[in-house]
Amino acid sequence: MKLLCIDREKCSGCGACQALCSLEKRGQVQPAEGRIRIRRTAGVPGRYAVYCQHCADPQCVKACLKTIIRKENGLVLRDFQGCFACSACEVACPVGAVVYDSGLDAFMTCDLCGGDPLCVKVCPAGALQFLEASEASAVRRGAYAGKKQSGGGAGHEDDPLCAD
Amino acid sequence: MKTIHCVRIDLGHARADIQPLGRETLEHGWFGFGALRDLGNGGEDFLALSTGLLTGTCAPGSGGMTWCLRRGGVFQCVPAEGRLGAALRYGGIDHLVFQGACGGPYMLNITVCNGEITLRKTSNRPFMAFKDAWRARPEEDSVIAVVGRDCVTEDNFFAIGSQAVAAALRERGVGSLTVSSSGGLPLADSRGFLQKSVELWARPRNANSAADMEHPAGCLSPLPGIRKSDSELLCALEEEDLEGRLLAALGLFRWSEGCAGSLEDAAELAGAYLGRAVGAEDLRNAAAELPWSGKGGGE
Repeated sequence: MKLLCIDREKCSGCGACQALCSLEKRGQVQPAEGRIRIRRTAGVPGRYAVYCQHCADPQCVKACLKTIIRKENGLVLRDFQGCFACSACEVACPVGAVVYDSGLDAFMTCDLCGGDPLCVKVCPAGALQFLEASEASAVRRGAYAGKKQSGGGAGHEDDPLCAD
Repeated sequence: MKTIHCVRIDLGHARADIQPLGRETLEHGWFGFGALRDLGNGGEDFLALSTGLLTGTCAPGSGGMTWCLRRGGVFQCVPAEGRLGAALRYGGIDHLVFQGACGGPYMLNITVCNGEITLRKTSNRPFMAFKDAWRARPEEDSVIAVVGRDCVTEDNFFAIGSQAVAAALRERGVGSLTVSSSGGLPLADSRGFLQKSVELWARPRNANSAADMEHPAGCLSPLPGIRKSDSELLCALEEEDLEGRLLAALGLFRWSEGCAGSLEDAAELAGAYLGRAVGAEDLRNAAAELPWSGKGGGE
């Protein structure tokens, strides 16, 4: 099974993935409702993309009051027709990947575009990759080990908001 | 086809009015010139932040916006790139026109949230103004632009306005701008636009080694954004620079620096946005209609 994988060191936060995702899913450019989102929580160094992680033990599935969210073949999928937008899944999601789609009047998450994610095609920095789960895990472990070995910090040193 | 909206902010009386400027067409959609047509004839100083037809769309370089200002008879258009113009467009606003000046010993924070505008006092020290705007931001994704002494900065890092623009804003008492919006931009031919955008984004792929945390990209751009220490890179457009004017008018920034695309690509995007066939020649012809008043004073 393939998953979306991001290299945060490469992500430049340009927002192309978010804008194009909204155009693909909503038919208009509306980044606030893109299923992949760039979060800017602590100024420039804190920019990164968030999207559904298709968790092993998805909290949104447990939280859903209408039981319309399910885990199937490793993917977290949902039927928007039954959603009454109670936002329980949004609150429960640990990564903030659940977005409200005003066109469907339902909460939605990344569905990997049916196995051919558009965001991966357009990412200019090559930060987004679509990899097998085992490969993605190896890439992440390798990157973490490399960073630890080189003694790299979080990169927030120059951010005045983090300096407080 | 959407209607162009211009907000006139009367800084002296701390109030703002939203005004429709007509339907968005190729000829009428040029950056800030809808506003300038009304403002520029009197010869007085003015300052406007304008967006183009393609600002905020998902094409590469479409974070483009333009500061139009006339100070002491000198007319300048300073193109820039950032989230500010795009966020304004998502909120249904295309141009901001600053009128008058705030009379007090303080600066003003202007907050535009989904088309609603509020003005409030803020510190006249740029860093304090940024912190103040950060604390009061309506949403996490709000765009905050702060008027510094050397430039206008966005996200406390990117330069989105030159020293001349910053000076003009400070003279009027504008300390910071906060823009927040959850709306969107409808496109006439969304599939065609998407297809063209994907093609353009794929072109510079793997060629952008500089896009990292040390040199974050600009909004909707594969190229590194302009840091505040490099703010002198934001230059006023020359009257003779027809292509620069055309692209800036469309809301595209730095296409000539390897951001993929030619005037033909821009025409194709504009065509998909408007839902009709547009050629590069149409753009050039429409550019002739730009009421470009030149650096000589504009009369």
